[in-house]
Amino acid sequence: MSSHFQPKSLLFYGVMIGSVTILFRLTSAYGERHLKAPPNVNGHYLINEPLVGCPEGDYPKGETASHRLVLVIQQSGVYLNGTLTLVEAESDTSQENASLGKQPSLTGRWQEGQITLSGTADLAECQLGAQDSTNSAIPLTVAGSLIGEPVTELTGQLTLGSTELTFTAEREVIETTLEGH
Amino acid sequence: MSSIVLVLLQVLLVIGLSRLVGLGFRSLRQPLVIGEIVAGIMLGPSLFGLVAPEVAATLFPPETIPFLNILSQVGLIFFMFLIGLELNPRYLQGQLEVAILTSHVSIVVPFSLGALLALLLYPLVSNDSVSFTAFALFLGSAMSITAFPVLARIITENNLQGSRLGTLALTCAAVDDVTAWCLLAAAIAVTRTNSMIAALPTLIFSALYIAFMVTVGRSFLKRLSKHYDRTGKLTQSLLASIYMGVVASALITEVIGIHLIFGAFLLGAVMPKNDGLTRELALKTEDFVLTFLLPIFFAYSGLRTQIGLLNTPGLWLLCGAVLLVAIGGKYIGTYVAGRVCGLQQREASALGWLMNTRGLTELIVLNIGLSLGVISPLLFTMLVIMALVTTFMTSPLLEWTYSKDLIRQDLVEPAEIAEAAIDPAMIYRILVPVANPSTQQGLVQLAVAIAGTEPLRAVVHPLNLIQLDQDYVFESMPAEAERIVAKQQAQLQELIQSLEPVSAQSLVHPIVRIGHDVARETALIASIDQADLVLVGWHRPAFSDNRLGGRVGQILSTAKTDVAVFVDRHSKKLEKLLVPYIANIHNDLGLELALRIMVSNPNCYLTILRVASNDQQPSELSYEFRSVMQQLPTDLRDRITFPVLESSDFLQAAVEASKSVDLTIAGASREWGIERQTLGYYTDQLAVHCQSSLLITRRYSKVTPHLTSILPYSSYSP
Repeated sequence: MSSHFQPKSLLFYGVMIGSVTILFRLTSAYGERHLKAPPNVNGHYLINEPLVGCPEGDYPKGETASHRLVLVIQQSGVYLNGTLTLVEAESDTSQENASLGKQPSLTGRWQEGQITLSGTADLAECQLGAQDSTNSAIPLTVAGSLIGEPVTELTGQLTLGSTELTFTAEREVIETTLEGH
Repeated sequence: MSSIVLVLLQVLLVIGLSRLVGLGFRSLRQPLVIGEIVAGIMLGPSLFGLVAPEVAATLFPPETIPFLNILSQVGLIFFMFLIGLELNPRYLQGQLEVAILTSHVSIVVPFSLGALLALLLYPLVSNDSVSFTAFALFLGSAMSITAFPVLARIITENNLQGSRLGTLALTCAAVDDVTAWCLLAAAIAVTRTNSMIAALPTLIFSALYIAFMVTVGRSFLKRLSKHYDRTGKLTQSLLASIYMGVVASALITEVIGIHLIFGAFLLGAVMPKNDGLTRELALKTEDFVLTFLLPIFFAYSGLRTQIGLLNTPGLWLLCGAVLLVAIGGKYIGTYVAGRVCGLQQREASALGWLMNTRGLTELIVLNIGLSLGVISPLLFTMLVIMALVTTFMTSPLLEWTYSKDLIRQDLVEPAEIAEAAIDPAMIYRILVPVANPSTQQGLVQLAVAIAGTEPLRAVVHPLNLIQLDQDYVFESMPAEAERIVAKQQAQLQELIQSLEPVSAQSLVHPIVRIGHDVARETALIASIDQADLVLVGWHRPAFSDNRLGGRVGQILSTAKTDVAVFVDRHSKKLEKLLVPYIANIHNDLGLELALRIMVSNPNCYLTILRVASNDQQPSELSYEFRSVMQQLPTDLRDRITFPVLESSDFLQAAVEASKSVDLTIAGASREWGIERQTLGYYTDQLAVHCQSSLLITRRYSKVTPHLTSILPYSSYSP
């Protein structure tokens, strides 16, 4: 074959690289203009309301509870996964690694500002009544609306076994470990 | 438990499991690295976290993960340095014209398809904090990757390094590698700034730094190389300064805004490819990096891989689409470009499958993408599956499109081409596995004696298989493998030149190859080359219970060819042969080989010893052998004697008779290979007590005509 510095070859490479550049520009222009991805809802949602039967500790009015419920949402576009856990109020929940290596127990979707999640919750520390004899895999559904742009709050209702809770939760954005590493 | 104790426990578990699973995959003829990646995934939520969530949470608590991450990043930096170090300009010499075109098309097609796939995936699996441009650029880059290090090792393993396909694939992959890293750097820059325009300064600085490294950095490193040549060794001070350079370069690219790994890769790539320095540096660096740090990277990556996220048929369909675009884009792009450049259909297809290997390189790219948030956990998992599938399928598909016998045909030696002039069926072929050319001259000399001296009637192939126990080391790179092969070739040539008579040297054509399983490869080559006989040397095991378990036992069990096992007692001559005769097919093979030796050596005499005792008549020669005897030329027949000894102990009689001969030939006992016996009780005992050199024969094929090529009128067919 001839050298690739010949005009014919150079023309071929020019056309090839030009074509792919044009294709990419057209694709990205179309995507930027017409495709809308869901908002970023990744994060830890610190639920303000206490759940009856879960440890709260005796604390005077105006002070914070010893424990609180946290809904961890891991987003992959419209597909959501999550976990509902009870954490100590003072613990740092903002680390990405807190959910690393764990299998999320909730699955669901984002749709037009609404989220739905269903699955189970492991709340061994809570006494949720006789009807929920085992607390290691209680059926759980969460439905809520996202507030703010970017999202700062979640309001909605969760049904945990036979217990229902209307809640508001503040979003805590998950920090990545090493800024891009 | 303190964090350090937990991290050390994790490291123990990670290294142990990755070795174990890696070796499991090796036995499936897959690259070790796939097993290590799978081991990492097993430790994450996909298996360990699913089966034993409590134990997984205890072993991998959140507070220890940053330590694993840092260790894995350090491992990655030095691994990328090794990849750069292995990128030898020598790989850019094979059919550069075809390679540049093929590799660019093999990037452009999957990149374009990846960008189009982004139109489907972006609204589904991304979020609005990532711009579409960054998402599409990253997905396109991920689709265009070819893992040069994995591909290079697959090529070595399949002994393709000397073939047209192998050199072409290496050149393509090297060009691909450099292009894909540049593309990835651009994707990272765009992701971090979320726009093409804002990424321009980063890209300009990156280009300036590359230019600086290629000019100033390279000339400085050349001085280091000269210093190494002067001292002849890589001192700790020199090593320390190179490692400091690696870390400094990684830091610079991180500050510029691309990624740590580029700096390390760049320093490795611009290192002068001084053979000695490169080898010593790679060997000193790779052991710790590959066995300790890299598995930690796989484990960290595995902790982030959640196959459980693919929990609906729709998501598996999306995963299928990702696979289809990745495989189709790479394969079709490479295949079409190869065909346009004039490659044959089979070569272009094999090249397509080779370029489809993504392996570890893809995993590095995906982890960067996930850390930057440009790809979501779900897409990360899909792409990890894609990386595993594309790497896993390479070896079987390569074998399917370009099987080992076709590779052998493409590598056929000029000396063998002459053989084509006569009927190949008339050529008597002996395959001689030679582990150590310097100590096995007697074995090859015997093969030559069996082959005869007539050119074009027989060929002896001394087979030297180089075992690379670990497949991700520097030694398994094609250039390094070629060096080892050349060294072994030279040793075998020395051996061949010492053979007598000189005229027989032209019959000997060595085969030197890379092989993992000596017995299996020997059996395969014997089958491909249609060998009539495999002649193998044997030493009594050091810790003997004489068990079937060494290489000889494995070859006997796997070779679908007649096998002769030679126990060398270093006799200088080959003039007195003894066959202690018991009627069975293995002994008949021994007699045939004895006749072959006699045909080419007029001074050679054969004694066929039979033993009689009070209660037992001596064995009768088989009908087939007697009919051959009648067809033998008179001068040959006159050199054969048939004494009958009175003895109650056949073995003792054979041992006694062996004192006065140069070579004793005995057929394997009928019970060979069972009851932990290699060759049967009698032959095993003979191997120990025989006073001369010993040849033990085991017939596999009842139709191999060992005498046809020397006695054309012989109608012997056992």
